[in-house]
Amino acid sequence: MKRFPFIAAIFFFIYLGCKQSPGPLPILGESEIVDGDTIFHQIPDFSYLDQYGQRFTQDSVRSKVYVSDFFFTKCPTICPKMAQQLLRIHQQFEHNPDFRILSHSIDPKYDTTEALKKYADKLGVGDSRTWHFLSVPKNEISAIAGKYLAAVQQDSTLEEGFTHTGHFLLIDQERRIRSFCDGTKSEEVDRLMKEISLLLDEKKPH
Amino acid sequence: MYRKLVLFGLMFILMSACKPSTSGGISTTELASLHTELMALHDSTMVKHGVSLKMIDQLDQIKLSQPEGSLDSIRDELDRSNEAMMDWMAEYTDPVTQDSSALNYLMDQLRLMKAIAQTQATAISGGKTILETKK
Repeated sequence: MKRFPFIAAIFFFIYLGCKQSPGPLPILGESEIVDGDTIFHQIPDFSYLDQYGQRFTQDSVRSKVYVSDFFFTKCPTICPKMAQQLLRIHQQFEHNPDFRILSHSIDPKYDTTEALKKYADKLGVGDSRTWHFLSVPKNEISAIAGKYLAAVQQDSTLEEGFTHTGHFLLIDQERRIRSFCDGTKSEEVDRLMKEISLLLDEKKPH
Repeated sequence: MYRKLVLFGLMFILMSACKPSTSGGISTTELASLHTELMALHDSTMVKHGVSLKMIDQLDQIKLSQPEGSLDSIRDELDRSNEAMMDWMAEYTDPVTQDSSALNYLMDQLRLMKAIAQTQATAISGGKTILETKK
């Protein structure tokens, strides 16, 4: 009987040793080796106006983790579902200074700065400094969407029509794609939220 | 006689329950299925919107190295079909009533959306043909 605590302790330490902590998230998209270094797929520089009429660029997300999606305010089908899921993400991370949400509008004709602000107000995030609604010029939509959704297209049988897929992309501090999910499904968004936390912890000094 | 009456009554209740509900003579299931059809067509057209945008980019790239007037017309066609889609969405609102005016509105919108989808399909097909020849 006296040996029981000792045996229990051994089993406890074996359990701790076997329990795997989740590893770092993979870096998605095509990579290439240049002079022995791996160059990962990266989101290129960008410059768009946000819902406040302010210029939002790659510098605005420097060293930050962010979730990106493509939408348009007049969309009657998947976008409202995506917005509800992004609201959940916003609610959980809005006070984290190292996190942002970038919603790219693919309808520059109607989604003006004013329309984007009105949309944000309607969602209840009109004053958010975490969630930015960006107006992408018509001639830049295809290129930037292609860069963000490169990982999705690589990993699935998604058709070319990339601007209405409902995907959320998780981007790291170095503008590399680390994960994605179907933004219309709450269980997938649950998983993405755990991954956001992982990514935010990745660069924290221990 | 009494049992027959009860049986008849029960059958009448059962038949009433199975009949789809109507509002102003319009079946709500008919309205719902029309709405579903319209939104499905909208979604599939929007997916192709991405294809169309990518095609415009490819045509613009070709124009940089081989300035040709023949590319302009198909480019404009693709652009117009994209604009038509966005204009439709800006105008469209879900009907708030469930009467004949809602039915007529949805049928009109479905006709419009089918025309947009057709224009888009023609433009994409034309774009594909041109891009194939430029490979």
